[in-house]
Amino acid sequence: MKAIDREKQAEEEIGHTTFSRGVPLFLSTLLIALIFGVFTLERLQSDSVPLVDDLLHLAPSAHDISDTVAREGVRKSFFSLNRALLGNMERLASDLERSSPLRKTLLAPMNRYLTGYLGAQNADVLRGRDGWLFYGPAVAHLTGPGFLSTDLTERGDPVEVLTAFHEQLAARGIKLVVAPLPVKASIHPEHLSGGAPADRAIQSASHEAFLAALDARGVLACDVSEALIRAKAKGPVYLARDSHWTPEGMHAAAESLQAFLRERVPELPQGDMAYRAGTPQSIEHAGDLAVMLAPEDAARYGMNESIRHQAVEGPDGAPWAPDPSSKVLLLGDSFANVFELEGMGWGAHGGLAAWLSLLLRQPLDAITQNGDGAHATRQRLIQALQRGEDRLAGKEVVVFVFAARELSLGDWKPELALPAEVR
Amino acid sequence: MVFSSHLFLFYFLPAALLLYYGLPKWTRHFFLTVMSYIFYGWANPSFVFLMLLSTLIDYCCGLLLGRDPIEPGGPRTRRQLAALLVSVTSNLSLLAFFKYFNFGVDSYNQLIAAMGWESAQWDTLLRITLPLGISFYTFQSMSYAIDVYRGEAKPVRNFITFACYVSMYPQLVAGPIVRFREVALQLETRTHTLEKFGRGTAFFALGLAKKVILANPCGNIADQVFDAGSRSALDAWYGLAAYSFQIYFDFSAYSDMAIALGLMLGFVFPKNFDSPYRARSITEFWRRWHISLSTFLRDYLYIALGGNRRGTARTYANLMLVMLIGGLWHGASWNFVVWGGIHGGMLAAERALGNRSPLRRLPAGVGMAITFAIASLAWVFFRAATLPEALVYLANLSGPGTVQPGAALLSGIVYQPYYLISMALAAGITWSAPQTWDFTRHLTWPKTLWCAVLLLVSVALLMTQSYNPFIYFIF
Repeated sequence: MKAIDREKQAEEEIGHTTFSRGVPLFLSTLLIALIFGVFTLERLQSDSVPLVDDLLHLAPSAHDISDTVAREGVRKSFFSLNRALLGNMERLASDLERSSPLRKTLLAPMNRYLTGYLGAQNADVLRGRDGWLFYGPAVAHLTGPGFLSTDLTERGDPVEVLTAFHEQLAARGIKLVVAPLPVKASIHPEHLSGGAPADRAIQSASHEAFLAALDARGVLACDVSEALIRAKAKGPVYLARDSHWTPEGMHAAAESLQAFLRERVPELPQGDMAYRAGTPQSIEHAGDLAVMLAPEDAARYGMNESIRHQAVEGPDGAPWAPDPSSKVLLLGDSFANVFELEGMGWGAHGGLAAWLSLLLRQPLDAITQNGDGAHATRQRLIQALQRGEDRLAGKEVVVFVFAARELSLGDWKPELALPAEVR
Repeated sequence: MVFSSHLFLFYFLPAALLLYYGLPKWTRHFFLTVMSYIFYGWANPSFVFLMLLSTLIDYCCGLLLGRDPIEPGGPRTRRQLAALLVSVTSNLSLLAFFKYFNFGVDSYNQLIAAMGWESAQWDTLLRITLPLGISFYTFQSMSYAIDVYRGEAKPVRNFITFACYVSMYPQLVAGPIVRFREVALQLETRTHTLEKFGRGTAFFALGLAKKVILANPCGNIADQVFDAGSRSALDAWYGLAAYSFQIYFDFSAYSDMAIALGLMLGFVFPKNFDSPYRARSITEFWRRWHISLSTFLRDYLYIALGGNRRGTARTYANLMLVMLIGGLWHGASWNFVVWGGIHGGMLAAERALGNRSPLRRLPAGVGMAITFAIASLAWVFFRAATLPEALVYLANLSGPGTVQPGAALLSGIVYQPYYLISMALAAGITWSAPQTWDFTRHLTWPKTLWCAVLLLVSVALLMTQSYNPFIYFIF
């Protein structure tokens, strides 16, 4: 009967609570005012979520249910309808939270103090030293156990995927050059941790094994880390509050890639096109990490930084643009898009492809997409080939660049393969 | 849906309280049950069918048990015995299937592969999803049939009342495990007072603060250190201390909030934590840690196995067995078996040594420190993803080893002022501040203002933090 003793004890404890006068009323009112107040405020100010309507539409309609049952049978449709309902509920919860006016008001100032001054990790952003910010998952790529020692069943083994891609391109007479681009903490570890060495790159535990495995399978891999460390002697090669490199870092990487191509892909003809760098322009902008901490408010919280951007111009003086008839195709993620895509806020026509084009003195074709560096550009290339747009026609080499963190985090989609023939 | 979420605090809770207090009294259990099913179904709507099945089985078993007279200690009919067996078997079968199917298949396949009989392996394509809180509500539901069988509670005639007990959202998914006899009377009649609501608010504020201000940052440190490929000995100890604080503040915070929400609905749930890291032995630790589980295992398993009534050797074996099962209850993995084995071994050793136990002879502070160290070292098995990872971590704790270059970055993350302050606060509160029950027993204005400030600060932090897991949701 011990449990009943516990119950009696609990009753007694609660029953013997003593309060100063007015305390129970104050506490109860506080909670009620808080939860109902925030609810009311959010409903009054919300510009997007008609709550009742959303709640009513959470469950699939009778029509959807009968359709699914007819299509998939009772057992399967139970699970697919359940998945749909669950997805709707998760979306609603996330929408309510994201659109919360209270959250929007508090986010930037709270992050300014918690992350900016005290160093709390939030929204995947880590505070470094001297006002630098780092992307948490990219740092985890370096501190983690090594991407080749984790279970690769679901997201694919990058070595296998890159080898297969290399073989598919080789069957078309095209060489593949892979360039995993080091994450910011690789090259500037001293801005994250005082004890980290400033004179060499910190790599993932699997880095060497990865490069050796590619080499053993005949896949050309260009490691631009050393070039970036050398360039760092003249100043930062990564932006302080953005996850990408500075124009200087990108130039160093482009030079390293150009030297690698000249040495390892000698069949690529020397170009003679007179591309030139335009007049440097100063651009001030908030980095992506600053925006993650203070959406819409980064500038207000002094998190902008400036760069000297140089666009590349063609022989005719026109801004650089990809050329599908070139012998080189660059596949790249946001590291290739920064300074190239106007929308990223750091200027246009001066990205990695443009600078590589200038250094190689020949036009370049480029397929780039922000995010999902492990598969997005390969997927777009395959889709183009499938719809008859032969982006590989006349190519000698494909340069595949992606943020090295993709090796730990990316979905490599082993099922993606170049079609055997262009339709 | 977790208590420390935007959806729960500003949408579910207002709706639940409004329905509970706004509708006629006789509908309260019905709407409480409906809200509990919504709360539970939010994790995965299909899980509600499983909970409903478990509830139906035990409700029917209860009715069967009640068809014949039940006197405490008196004889039981065959029908009553059969009803009890159906309840226990069905609940344990549900638990075993959903919690241990994958583990069983994987272990069998590893064994068969080690013997070179790969062709006899089972297909592992079928993976079972663990329903949220199944470990908790099957225990609760089963306790009802056992309590009725033992004559310690009366069978419930009203299905809604019983469904309300099994599904009650405050303690549904992560406890405390509330046995039927502990709330049977309250289900029939309970008071709703401003004092209860007020103390519930104080409990909730303190629970939310423990979760958001202490458990989350400590959890962030623990995640960084445990997920690292390698770490220095200093980082390893720091990460382990952080995990010890995280699991305590996270779980006790959940219990505090559960008790708080219970009070707001007029229920009084028993204490689940009693400053466990102030224990001076592992035996004492288990009187203070997850009390609802340890007493459940004691009353329904240890005593059923014969307890200490069948000789010394059997007592030790029972202690070990109960802790091994307690370990497995937490999760289907060899890590939990080892964790249970460590605690079972310590309980048996302390029992064997009795007053000769060195821990009893040491000054209180030293005994506390040693007990905390033992409990923390056992947590390594609780936290590490696999047994080999746990062993590597233990090796890291013991000193030099191969430290990868990436480990140098860890210090830049985990020794930030925010984390150092959180760790210092966690240590200070663990060993010198009163626990929630004591703090809220006499609510003066200064204490009340503390609670109010903590509530507001926690909500502000909650609105802006992206890291907010609840450890015990996976058990």
